Amino acid sequence: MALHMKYSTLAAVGLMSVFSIGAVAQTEGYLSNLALEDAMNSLASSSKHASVSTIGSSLEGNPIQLVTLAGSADTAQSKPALLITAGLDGRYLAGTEVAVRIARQVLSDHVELLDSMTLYIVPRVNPDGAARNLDRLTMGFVGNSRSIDDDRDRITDEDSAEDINGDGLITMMRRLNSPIEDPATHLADPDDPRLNIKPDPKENQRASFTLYTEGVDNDSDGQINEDGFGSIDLDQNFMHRWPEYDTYSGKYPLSEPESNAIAQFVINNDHIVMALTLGRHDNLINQPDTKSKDNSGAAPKAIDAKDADVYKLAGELYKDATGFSSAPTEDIAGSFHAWLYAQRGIPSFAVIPWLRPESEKADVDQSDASENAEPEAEIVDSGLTPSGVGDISQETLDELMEAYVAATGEEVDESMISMITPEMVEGFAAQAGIKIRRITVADPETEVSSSDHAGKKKPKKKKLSDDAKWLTYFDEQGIDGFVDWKPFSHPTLGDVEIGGFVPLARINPPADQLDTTSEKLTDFVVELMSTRPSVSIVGPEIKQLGSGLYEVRLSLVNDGKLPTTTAYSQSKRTIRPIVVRLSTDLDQIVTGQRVGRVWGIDPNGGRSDHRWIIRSDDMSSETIEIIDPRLGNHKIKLGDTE
Amino acid sequence: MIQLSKPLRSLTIAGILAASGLVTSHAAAQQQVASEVDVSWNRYYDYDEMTKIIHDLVGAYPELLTLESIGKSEQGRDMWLVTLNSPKTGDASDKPAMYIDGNVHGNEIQATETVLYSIWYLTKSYGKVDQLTELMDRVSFYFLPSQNPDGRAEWFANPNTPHSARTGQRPTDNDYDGLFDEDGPDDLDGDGHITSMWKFDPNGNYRRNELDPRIIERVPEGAVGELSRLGSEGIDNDGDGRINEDGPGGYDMNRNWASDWQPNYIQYGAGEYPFDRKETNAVAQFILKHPNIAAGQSYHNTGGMMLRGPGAHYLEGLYSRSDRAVYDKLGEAGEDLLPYYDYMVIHADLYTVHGGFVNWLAEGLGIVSFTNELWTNSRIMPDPDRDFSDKERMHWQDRMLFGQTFTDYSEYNHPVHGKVLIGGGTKYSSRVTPPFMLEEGCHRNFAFTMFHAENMPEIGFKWIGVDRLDSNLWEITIEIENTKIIPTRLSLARTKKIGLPDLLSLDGPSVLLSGTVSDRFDRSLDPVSDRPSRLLVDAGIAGESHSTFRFLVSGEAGDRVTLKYGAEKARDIEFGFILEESEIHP
Repeated sequence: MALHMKYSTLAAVGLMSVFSIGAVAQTEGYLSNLALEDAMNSLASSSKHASVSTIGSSLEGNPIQLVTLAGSADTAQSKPALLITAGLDGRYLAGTEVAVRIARQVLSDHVELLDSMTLYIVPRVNPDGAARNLDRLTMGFVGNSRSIDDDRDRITDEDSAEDINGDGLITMMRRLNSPIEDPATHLADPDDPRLNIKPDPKENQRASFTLYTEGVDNDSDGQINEDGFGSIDLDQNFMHRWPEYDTYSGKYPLSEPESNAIAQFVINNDHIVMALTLGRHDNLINQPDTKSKDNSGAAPKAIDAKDADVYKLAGELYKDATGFSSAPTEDIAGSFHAWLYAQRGIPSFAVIPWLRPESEKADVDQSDASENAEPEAEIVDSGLTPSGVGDISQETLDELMEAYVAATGEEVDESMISMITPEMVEGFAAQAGIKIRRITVADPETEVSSSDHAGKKKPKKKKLSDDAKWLTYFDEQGIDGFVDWKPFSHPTLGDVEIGGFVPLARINPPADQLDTTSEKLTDFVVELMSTRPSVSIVGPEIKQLGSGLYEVRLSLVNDGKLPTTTAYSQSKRTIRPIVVRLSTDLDQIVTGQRVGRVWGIDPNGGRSDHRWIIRSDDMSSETIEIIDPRLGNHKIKLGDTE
Repeated sequence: MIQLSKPLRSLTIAGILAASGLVTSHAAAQQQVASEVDVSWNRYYDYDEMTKIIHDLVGAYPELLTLESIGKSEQGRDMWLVTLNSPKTGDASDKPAMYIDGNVHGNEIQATETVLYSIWYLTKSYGKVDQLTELMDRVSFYFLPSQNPDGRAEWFANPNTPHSARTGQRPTDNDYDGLFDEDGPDDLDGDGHITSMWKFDPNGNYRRNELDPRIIERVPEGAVGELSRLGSEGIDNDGDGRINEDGPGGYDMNRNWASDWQPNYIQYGAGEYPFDRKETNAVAQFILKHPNIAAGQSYHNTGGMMLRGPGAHYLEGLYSRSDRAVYDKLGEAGEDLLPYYDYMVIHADLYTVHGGFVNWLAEGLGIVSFTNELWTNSRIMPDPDRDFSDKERMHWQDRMLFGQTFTDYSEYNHPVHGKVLIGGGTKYSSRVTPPFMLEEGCHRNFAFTMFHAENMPEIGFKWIGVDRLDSNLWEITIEIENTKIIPTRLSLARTKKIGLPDLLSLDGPSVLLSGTVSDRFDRSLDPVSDRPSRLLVDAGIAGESHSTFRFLVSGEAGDRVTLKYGAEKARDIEFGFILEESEIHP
């Protein structure tokens, strides 16, 4: 718990003024909620194509704002729409900044795109969480402002973190004289003593300190910072694979006003045909899992294989626009973007808008190929929980157990876990199509050369850990992303060193990078908009068969690069179809359905063909009505086409 | 023999009648204990009549009952919830409570009468029937007679089948044509019911039975029939070539709950998301505000079942051996009280249900809960365990109900199908208990829920041993017992972190160490290291069992010690004593 950085903080607001001259907060230059409102309003006043509205409000009453970019206000609802959502996770402030800049750049440089597509942008779904990260000392607030008794001791928020050394930041503490009850777990990395590593017995390493978040044991329960301000993680509060028993997932799906507001907006706007979510999830660089099923066995965990091409296409566009080649992965259970795909039929893309650029220096050090070959190896300690099975994360084990339960219908006997090996996990994961997420970086070099491993060769060959890469990056860029360890005398722990990564520095870039980051994302959005489904009506063609008998043909053709709805939703009928309705009375129809339903049209010339043979005395009075919840309605008079 | 409650035993029946000026001697003579409110339990009540009975009861027993509307239905009807509590023994929220509702499916009407009967029977018994008075002094009840007021109103007011109006009444586009509720069934023959239609068809596979033309039977292999099946009575209102494909509503509010909720394409009727219906949301918010609810009962029809979760096979693991034992004890007692009911598991014995109500109560909130499926048609037969032919069924329907639940077939000129036959069982012909058997059904189910309520946890300090280890060092060992079947916390609640752990606290002397021990003789203490005066008990106190706890305290002889045990689903207890070598039996 002490290392569970996501949910700890300082509530002692009174102390803040003391620290304001300390290190530069990572959030400097980011939009406060008020500044965001101003920015949104000035967007609306700057262009006739932009309008701002509120889709709901947070628990603390902050508005959740929406900017609508459209060719004209009248047609906003009748064009297909792209929904861009950011700021579900309170820590991911860069997403909000990028979303606002995308709006500005589309209005200034790409306004013509809005004639064929509406752009909805909700830049900050979680204003309360953002405010906490912006206004206060923070270790990173994920959720909204609904308080949780994290440690279930019937007392809420009784022990949060503090900035005890007064440097204006909440960082980490190394407890140097670990007593028996609290044995040392880590040591300083010999290659870079700023970093904490776990001892490697093969290297004859011994742990020399324990790690805590900065703070004291406010409630004298022997634990430090075990119940800070924890709250509901909005991005676990949606319906697809809602993690019911997770402490932070909410009492029920959409229990929170913020998640409810964005969900209602989606439900009320069937014309959203694609979605881009800026936050902590990525499904474009790491292509989504197409094999695993959820608990019920009836829905995919991430996406159905039939939709893989859509994600491949968007992934290529994204990589081209941003130059990113790797991104961390996180469990998507209960996330907003996963729900959009699984239950709303929307191609739903998720990206982490700012990622550490690959360091050239690091690349050299790593002697080529292995760098990009193993994206999993990049994932280091991004909130993963150790499992006791080698370096396999608990999250991976949980996924495997879920898959096991789904496959066999039996609950996993917990005692089995103690008997399994990492190799068994790898085997099972390969079968189940589950990506293994590891706690520490695999070091294939070491394993391969273990027979003749000589300490000398290592520094050159050793693959840098994710933490090490961050340090290299901060050093190269001159970013204050790390606080050097300094001795401090702790009231209960004795001698400690306080230091470590600046909270949120690895999530949000310095504000001066936001423009460049946003330009890349705008390029991607523009490309993405060009892939939109584009359905044209071909026909109707009417052929007289004689004696008042007519053959009528009509086709709907999608020339876009994306389907009108996902292939998965077409097969499962998850959302409203296009209705093709012929006015002719049923008893006058010889062939064909009076009311036809089209569950979706494939991309790249995919079509839906309709044919009727009807009897009619007066073709001029007959009509075909196309009711398309996504691309707009049309009424065609057959008389006009003769 | 007429049973009288204890205080009244010395009185003669005549004396009771004389003492009670509130009821007519006629009513009292027929009831063991009279109620202030006369209700006939051999008939059904629509939403408005139900509302009146609720108000009459609350008006007659204001000291026990409080009424609130927890929300409005889709069509604006109040969702009436009655709290039964004896205020002299504390607030309702301080006691373990049983939540009882019914009629989430609008057509499953007798569920409501069963809930009303329960309120009626309890109120009239308070102060008069010892067992029930003691129960009402110990626990509280929340009654919601109808979870679906619109469905109930619709079923009574309009022509329906035994199965229709199951849904709520929010207009829904069931056939995905962009129109809402545009093609429901139609009462073409004007009998007030939706019955069946049969088409005259020279190639049909059905014919009318020679001896009883009310029976339409499949023709034997090789024979030629005269009828083919069309389905429910109705026309193609929207001219799309289909009949009755989009009637009122069209969803299932018993699939709209948060635990294991699945979307409509996996679970029909689920809605857009859990609690997106006004009715389910109102109930959910009420229940979430009442963590003292320790038992749950939801009434449905039909089939004669007491059902428990899980609703899907992959959730079997949520029911541990010890939790199953709790359900088994209650369910087996139920089979005794309800001789023609079976105690069953939803997914294994009935069908898979995702997002069911009692599943949410049980698996989401750790509340021991059952769904009872009231009534089974075979009960009208001489031997309910045997399968009966249509002929025999018709025979008994005739002999017992005198044909009242059947509309004879008549010819009708259908706009699409030409000459058809319309007729068959009315909406009362199945699922609904025949009125003359209603009261027994209400009472037996009421008795089952009282057994369930009686077994909500009741905890007490059983034994306290105080040993002086040194001049100022004392060892206090405490046994806390739960005399009922239901534990203060299901093992599911512990493993899935549902609700709050129980809390045993010791105030007075300074607590050095505390922990749980296996029994009072156990000498090994694995102490909690922190805040030892507050001992969190995540496992709770098991049913019909006790747990043993130990505190090492520093204090002077004669110091006052106060022990408190708090549990969400049991009444909190407190006991004070003086620090001295002793064995205490509180």
